[in-house]
Amino acid sequence: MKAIARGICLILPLLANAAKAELSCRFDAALGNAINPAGIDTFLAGSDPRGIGALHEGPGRSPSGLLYATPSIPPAPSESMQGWSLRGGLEAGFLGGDGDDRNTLWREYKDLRNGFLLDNFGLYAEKPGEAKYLSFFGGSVGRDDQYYGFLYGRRNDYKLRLFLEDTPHVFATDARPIWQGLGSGSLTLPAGLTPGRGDRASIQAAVDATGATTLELIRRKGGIAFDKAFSETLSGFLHYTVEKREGARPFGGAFFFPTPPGVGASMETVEPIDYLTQDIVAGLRYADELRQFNLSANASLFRNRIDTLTWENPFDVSLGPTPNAANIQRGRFDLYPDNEAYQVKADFAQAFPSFLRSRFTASASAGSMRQDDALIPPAVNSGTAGRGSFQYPLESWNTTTALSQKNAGAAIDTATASLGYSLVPVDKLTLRAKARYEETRNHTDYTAFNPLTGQYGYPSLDGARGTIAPNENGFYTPGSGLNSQWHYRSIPFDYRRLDYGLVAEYPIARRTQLSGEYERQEIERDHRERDRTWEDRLRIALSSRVANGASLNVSLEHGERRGSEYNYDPYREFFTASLPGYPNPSRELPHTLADLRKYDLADRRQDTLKARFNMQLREDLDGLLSMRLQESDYPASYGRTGRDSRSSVSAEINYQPAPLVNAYLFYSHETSRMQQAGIRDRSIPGSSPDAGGNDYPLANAWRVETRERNDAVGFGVKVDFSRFRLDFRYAYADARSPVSYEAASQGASTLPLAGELAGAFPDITFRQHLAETSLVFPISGRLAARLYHRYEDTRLVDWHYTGLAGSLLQGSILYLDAGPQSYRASVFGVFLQYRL
Amino acid sequence: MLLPLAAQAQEATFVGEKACTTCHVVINEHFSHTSHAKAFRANPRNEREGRVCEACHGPGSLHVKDPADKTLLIGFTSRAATPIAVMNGQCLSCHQGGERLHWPGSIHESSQVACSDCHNPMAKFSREGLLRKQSVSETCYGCHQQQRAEFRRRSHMPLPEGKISCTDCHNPHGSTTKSLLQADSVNALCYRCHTEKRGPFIWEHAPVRESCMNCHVPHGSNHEKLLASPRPFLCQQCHANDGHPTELLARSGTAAGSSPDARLMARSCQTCHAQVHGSNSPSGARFHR
Repeated sequence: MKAIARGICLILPLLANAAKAELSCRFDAALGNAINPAGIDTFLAGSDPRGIGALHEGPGRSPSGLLYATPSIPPAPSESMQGWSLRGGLEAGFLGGDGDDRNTLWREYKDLRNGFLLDNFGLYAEKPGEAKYLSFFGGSVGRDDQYYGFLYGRRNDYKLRLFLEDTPHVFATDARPIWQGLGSGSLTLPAGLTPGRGDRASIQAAVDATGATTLELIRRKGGIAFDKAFSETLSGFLHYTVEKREGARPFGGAFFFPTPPGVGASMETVEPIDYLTQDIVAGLRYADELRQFNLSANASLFRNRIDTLTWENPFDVSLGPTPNAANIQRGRFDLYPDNEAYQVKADFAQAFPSFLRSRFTASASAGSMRQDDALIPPAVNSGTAGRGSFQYPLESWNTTTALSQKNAGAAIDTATASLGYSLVPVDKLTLRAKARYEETRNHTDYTAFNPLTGQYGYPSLDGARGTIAPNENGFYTPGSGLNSQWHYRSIPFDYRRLDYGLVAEYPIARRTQLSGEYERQEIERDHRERDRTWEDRLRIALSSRVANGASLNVSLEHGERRGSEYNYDPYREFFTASLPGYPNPSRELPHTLADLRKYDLADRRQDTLKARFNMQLREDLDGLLSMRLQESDYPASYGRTGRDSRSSVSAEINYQPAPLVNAYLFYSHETSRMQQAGIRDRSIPGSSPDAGGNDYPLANAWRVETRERNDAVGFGVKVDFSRFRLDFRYAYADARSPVSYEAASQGASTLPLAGELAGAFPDITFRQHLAETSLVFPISGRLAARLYHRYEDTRLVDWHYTGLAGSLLQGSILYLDAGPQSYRASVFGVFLQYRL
Repeated sequence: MLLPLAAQAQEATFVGEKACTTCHVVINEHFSHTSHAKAFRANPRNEREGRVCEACHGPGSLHVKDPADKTLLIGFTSRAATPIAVMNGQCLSCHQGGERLHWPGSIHESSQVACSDCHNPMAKFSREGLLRKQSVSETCYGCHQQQRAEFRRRSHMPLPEGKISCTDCHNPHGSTTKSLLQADSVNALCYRCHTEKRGPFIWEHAPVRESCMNCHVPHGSNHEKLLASPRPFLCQQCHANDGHPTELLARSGTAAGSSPDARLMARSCQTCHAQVHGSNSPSGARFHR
């Protein structure tokens, strides 16, 4: 450790001379992991028995009455080298037990595998004579959730920061993808399966022969930031981060609708992830007593090193004798394209203390998101596709000469502007006016048109759709005299949003403030079901600092959203039926149920009550109570409908009878309910889109209600005894999500209702016990031993996955796994702590 | 500097740091390890910072004479007689602007939240930020208890695992957005980590482009992928197009039922419509490719 410190002292002067450029930026805020979420130094000496040192009895509290914790014993000044004082330490040891458990949820965001663990380390150096400092810290060294931070700077002058952090994300640990080439852009079938010609027995044999595979990705992000104070009022920053995501995750893939079995096929494939993102942001900040401004510019570049995913089809997508089904051998995804985003942003504030104590703020930003990837051919297969008289050669579609344009040319520009003005026109009354405008401008314009054939559209599902369903190839042929309705043009969704409002605040008593607010939000949307929506919101709030450090915040908000006339089909111009010469456009199927209202645009009335009360129960005991009730009414008959209720209540007590003792207990309860309704259509061309019409008869109506109930309880105890320190935490979460339904008749569904027009799914349930124990035994002034234990018991039941275990091949659908499973895991750790 | 009225009236004067540390020995030990102490002592920007304790607490001559009278010094705890506006004004006199430019009029300010409700600069509890607790999330949970429960749900952002914090998405000091977001919109915020979904794509999904929260909840969910409700019912709230989106999907369609149906099993609609966030494939108008 001394040699390392000596080395650092030698290179520090070099770093100081090099750090002349002026950079600065925001740092990623969290560096930690599951064992140490706060990323603190666990090797510090225990809590200070003297408390924080306030000259009064009992613990201190924040102005809202929240107890302040007891700080750790301040580290003693240690070695000094060339003016640098050093301190630091590390904690290292071994983990054992169920750390290697393969369960997906256990491993989702953490790495607790058995074996050696350098849990955390820190080296801190100060040179008070020059106001310089250096920190180097990290944790979980070499593991999938490792993190490191480096800081070097001079107080009130400049700061150089570097970080590196890994975040694992495990999606599945028992996946059984039958393909070879996982993690690449090409998935090929194993020997024994011929693309486009597989039978059920062969596919099942391939599944049985496939071992368990883990699908995961690691997000590795690193960055460098430089902050420089040019003067007391002006500072600048430059920040650069680079992030790599590598791995694989579950994905989809379809060759027509797979129900009933043998018609089409769908399957879960594996998406390769090989992303690189670079971000750079630079800016200036100015702040004096009256005036402040921020100016920044940033650029973000995303690169996907794997452009496409081509996978071989294990199924024979036949519907009876279909000679072309064998040509549907592969499917191809165009994976997320490379993109760039740029933005400049400015904030300004000016205070006018002598004019009604007013303050003016203004913010503005302008940005652009762009993507111009080379487009792939519309089809990947060869040979003839389609059926009967609707057959066509895939060779007309499987090269880029079949495209109307070779590159995407996609771009969306964004802009925001906000203004605010506050003033105190009469004693104690504060008025605020605010307005915020935000807009997007979508410049993307793509037409699916094949110049080789003169057809509009694309071969749907790489030729599978038309091969199974006659005249459903995916494209319209002008002059053919045949109806063939397809979405053929990109839709440039845009919006312009304006929020404005007034706020009045007045102290009605000492430390009690009443406020009232009116806000209106107006949104204009292009190519959506409503051109305009507007929402008026009224809010009153009370904030009070009552006696003995208690505080109360209560607010009630009422909102009413309305809008312009609802157009159930605003997309006509983007579909082939709008093309000149299209035969009988009125003979098309209705686009959708005309009475359905999409909930993001629908009329809505919403009331929200929030309350929060912090109270000092005793000098060493505080209590917190909060609640939230929200009722939203959707008057529409179809889509989201009726009353949507959400309510939550939380309580917590904190107990701190002495500086070395701390305990807490919390409980949260939340319930919600949401309703929706629909009508199963009869697919009658040219019929009315209205509820009760020929295509959407009321006898086919149905309703679904989704409820949730969540409970969470937990407690923790932290005690510093002279011979050991104990930190124990326990949390229990219990969630239940019932889904119930009712149908007007069997006509509401093609699935058998078995005579029961009302029913329910098995509840989705999630229960988790989580207990964590830490015992630290001081051995000497610098050395301590730590015993660690983590226990998780998670029970998950989700009807989406029930029945898939051992049955990954369901008719013409192939799944990767049976979803996340329940588990019970216990990990023990033995560590040594060493302090410099 | 805003002085308590009593102090103003009696014309308090500065006494120097040593006068403070004569009595406040232990608190000085803790304070000495904070960035304020180190900056003020080693490289003060101005005369005020050079006063160290009195830079924040104001001139202490009256307090030295009568320590029991809380009105004679600026305090930052519940025992102080200092109004919250004065407390915050002290902090903002140095820390105004930057991330705190929109603090005046923000929901926290309107709710009379004091800087020292979240920060405790007298000792080092957290690695950065001089927080009241060891981490940002524990500090926020002091008032936002419901969010602690949300992060413990079946699918959640990796906040309990220490990989993300509240301030990665929110600016507690104020912003131009209602939810105190760190970006101009929900999507601009989400794109910071989920850059692949930024696109734009030649085939867009309208509710996706407008707001990620049309389908997802930000903290934790009882459903996969932080979805607001279970598939396929989430999708059916908007989609009643002809054919397979319109019908009621009942229990018999699960894998354990009599008629297993792709729309109910596993990824549900996304088994086929895998590119639900938008597609750049010329054949991706329905997000199949």
